[in-house]
Amino acid sequence: MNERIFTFWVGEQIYGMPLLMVGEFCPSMQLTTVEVGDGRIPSVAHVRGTTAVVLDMRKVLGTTTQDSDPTQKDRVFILAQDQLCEEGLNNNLKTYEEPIVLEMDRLGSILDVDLHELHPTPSHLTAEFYRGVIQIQSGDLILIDFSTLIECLAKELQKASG
Amino acid sequence: MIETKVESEREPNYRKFMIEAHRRFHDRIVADLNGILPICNQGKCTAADISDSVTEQQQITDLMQKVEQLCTHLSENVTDLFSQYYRERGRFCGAAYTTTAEIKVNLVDRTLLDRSTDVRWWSKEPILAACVNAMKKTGKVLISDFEELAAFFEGTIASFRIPSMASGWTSMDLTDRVKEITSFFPRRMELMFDPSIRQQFEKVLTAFIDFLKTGEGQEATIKFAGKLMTKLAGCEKHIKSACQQLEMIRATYPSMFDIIVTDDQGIVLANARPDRRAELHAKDMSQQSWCQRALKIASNQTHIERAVLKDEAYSAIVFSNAIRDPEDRQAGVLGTISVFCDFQSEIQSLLDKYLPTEKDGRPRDGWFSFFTDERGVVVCSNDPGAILPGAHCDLPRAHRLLVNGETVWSHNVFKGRESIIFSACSTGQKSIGGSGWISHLVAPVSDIMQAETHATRLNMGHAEIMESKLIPEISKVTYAELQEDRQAIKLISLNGILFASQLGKRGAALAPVFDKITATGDSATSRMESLLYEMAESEIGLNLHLQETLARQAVDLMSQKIFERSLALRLWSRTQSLRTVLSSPTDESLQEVAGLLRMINEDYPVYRNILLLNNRGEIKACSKPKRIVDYETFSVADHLWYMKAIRSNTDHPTTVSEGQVGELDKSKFESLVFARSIPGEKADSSPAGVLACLFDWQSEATEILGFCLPKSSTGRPVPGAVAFFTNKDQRVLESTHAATVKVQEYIQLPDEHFQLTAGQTYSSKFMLNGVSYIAATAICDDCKTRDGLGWSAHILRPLI
Repeated sequence: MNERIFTFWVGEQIYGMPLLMVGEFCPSMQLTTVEVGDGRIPSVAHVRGTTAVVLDMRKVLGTTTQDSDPTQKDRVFILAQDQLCEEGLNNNLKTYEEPIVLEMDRLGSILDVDLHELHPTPSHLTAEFYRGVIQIQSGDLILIDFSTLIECLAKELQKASG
Repeated sequence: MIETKVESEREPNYRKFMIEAHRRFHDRIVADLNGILPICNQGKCTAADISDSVTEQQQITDLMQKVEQLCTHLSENVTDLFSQYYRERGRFCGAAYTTTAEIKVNLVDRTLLDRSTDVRWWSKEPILAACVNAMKKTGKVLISDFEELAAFFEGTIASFRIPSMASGWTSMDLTDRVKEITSFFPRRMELMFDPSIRQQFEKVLTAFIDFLKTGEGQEATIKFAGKLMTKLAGCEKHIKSACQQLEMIRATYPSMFDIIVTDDQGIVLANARPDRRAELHAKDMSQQSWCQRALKIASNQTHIERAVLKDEAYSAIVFSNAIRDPEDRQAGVLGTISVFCDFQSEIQSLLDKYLPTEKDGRPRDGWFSFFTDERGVVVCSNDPGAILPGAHCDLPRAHRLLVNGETVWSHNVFKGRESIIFSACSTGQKSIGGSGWISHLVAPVSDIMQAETHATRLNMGHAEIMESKLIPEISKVTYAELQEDRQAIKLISLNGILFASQLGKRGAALAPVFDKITATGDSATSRMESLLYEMAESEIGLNLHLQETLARQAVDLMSQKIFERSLALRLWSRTQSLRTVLSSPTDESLQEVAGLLRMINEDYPVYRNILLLNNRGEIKACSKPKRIVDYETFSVADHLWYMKAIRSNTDHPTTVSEGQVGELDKSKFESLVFARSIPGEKADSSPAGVLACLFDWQSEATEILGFCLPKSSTGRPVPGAVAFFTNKDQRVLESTHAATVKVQEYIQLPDEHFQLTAGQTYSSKFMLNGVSYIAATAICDDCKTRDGLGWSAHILRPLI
């Protein structure tokens, strides 16, 4: 079974997510810094009249490599669940009830991957939101389950706020 | 110094200089980008097929238009990129090669200045003044002496008519003998100058005197004739001494055609070349401008001009000076000394220097280096067959009419080849105002603009290369724009593919369009990026090469200076008065010698002091006694430079040593010691002592280093660049920026910089005080100084 995914780089690692949950690839957008006490949510973005929480994928994925220039970051607008296109819904994609912007070091490309080639996540990657690993030309691509990632994040935020 | 940089107003079409690889590169990228345009049209058409929604159609059309705009922008950018590359390369080489031309002409100016100082000093040689004086005196009285002798002879003939005189000779015989003697009188000049004529005259006169001795009352005639013969013999002796002195000078400076000494009427009295003596002696040179000018010149000046010599292939540069009375230098002029230098041969190596060479060592075809005077006449050239010294050279007006310190470079056709001509007028020496000559360096355009550059050994990453200060700002801007365009194309493609995916099956027709856009955009931008890196690497390679050349020029200038000075000392050490005073010193003679040393030092202010030492290392006289600590008792017998010098003989090169003069010289400045043994009175005797000069090289070094700093395309020194000299021990001797590279301290350059053999250069990346530099090093050519000082010149240029 094939799935079309978009890839992105955080540090030296390449990650992938389903393409159809993307509303737009847009590096420049209006951002407002927010103080939520969690570095993973540095700001909110305003995209075409919609406000979306920005997730800093470096912090979310816990990368320790040197941070890149903030002005050179790439951003991807992830649609809310009710904004998903028909194709996305047909593919059982799950996002979140609100749109979210992902901020990453660098965008990769769009790939069609064969999910039969998906390998289990290595043991050192303990987070629940990792779907598995696929070998591609530029290395091991880690697929991320976006809805699980958001759930994990929400739980952690709730826990932190008491 | 006028620092105006004149640049060619005519901006050439840089496209014609593009190398084939770049042309292919350019054409391929442009073709690729043009190939996207029909794809975009296809995308627009597909939009109408796959969707009835006007919004969706508009979204696709917008994306396609953005791609079209970006392709056009990239296409323009790539054309600009090549133009910028070649323009920058032209400007950079313009600044670099005009510096080389400037260095050459200023080096020649220094040689002229040094040589004119030498000639001024030689003109003070007492042997020459004595010769001119003696010849002048003899010449003045010779006619009256002949008349007087003739009168004596008349008396003699009359007296021999008296029968009481016991003799077999008749008065008729006497008359014949007297006629024979007086027949020499009109040949006055020959008698003074030609030893064979004088000997013939002496022979007949001696025979006559011998006969007169048999008679009575002829004592007065005999005495007068004897005096006359002594006078004429004195002339010969003086001429011989003067010629020997001139021969000695010429032996020290072998590039001289000849040295001629004349009296104040322009009559040649002595010369250095024995083979030309018969032809030259007694010849009237009063109509020659070098002779006329020398007779009128002030005591502290030397006249310099170009003269054509009939037997020589190339014209000579004549340095002429007046010979004055050593007792009273303000008095009138006694005569002249004119030194004819074979300048073409002397500076041939300088002219060939810094020109690229073929495998056989000859300068590469199409490269020329030559000097012209203020009338545009070639003074000397590296290829006299092509650019004949003495002839006019076909150069644009702007290159012929430069004034002191000005430089210009332009594109022209030279000797049938498209070339770049770099010209620089001398900046003018402190005392003589410079020769006013213009140095020209001609290079084929293909060699400058299309030179292959090899990968640098600096091992720099792409990002580091693009951050480097060596890369022109415009390339960095282009690089940044390219990155933006690349990102923009990528985003358009990603969004296009996303859009097509969201359309589901309907969007399948769009996917290949965006795939093609992505692939072409990626290939075009990555090609441009690699081209930018290649260009940047080539810039760095060029910079390295030129920086090494600058370091080489700095060390060459310094060693040339040292070499010239060591030659002068070789002559001074043979001065008779120094030898005499060391063998039998008296207060009076020591005073005289001190005066002589003072006089030399006034002419050569580059020396901090000039010392005369005996063979026990004691200072017997010096030019500046106040600078010597414990002048009366100080001995340098254990100093290395003294020991080396006293053991050397006249054939050995002058000993040049660093340091060890701190206790001698009260100043904190460092000096180089030039030392040379003074031969003993007899040829086989041990040296009588040592003549030592403390050379104040620091002021010379500061000037040289300042001149060899790398310059930007505007002609100004690059900010943060440092030039410095080190000795064998890696100790810094002099630096243009003491805060960055401290004098007297040891600099930790990579080992390779100090493992060079004579004449080699090396460059590498180097960190100093947290700043990354390119360091270029050149070591002095020991063959020239022959003393193995082993100094190096280093040029640091900030990299990041």
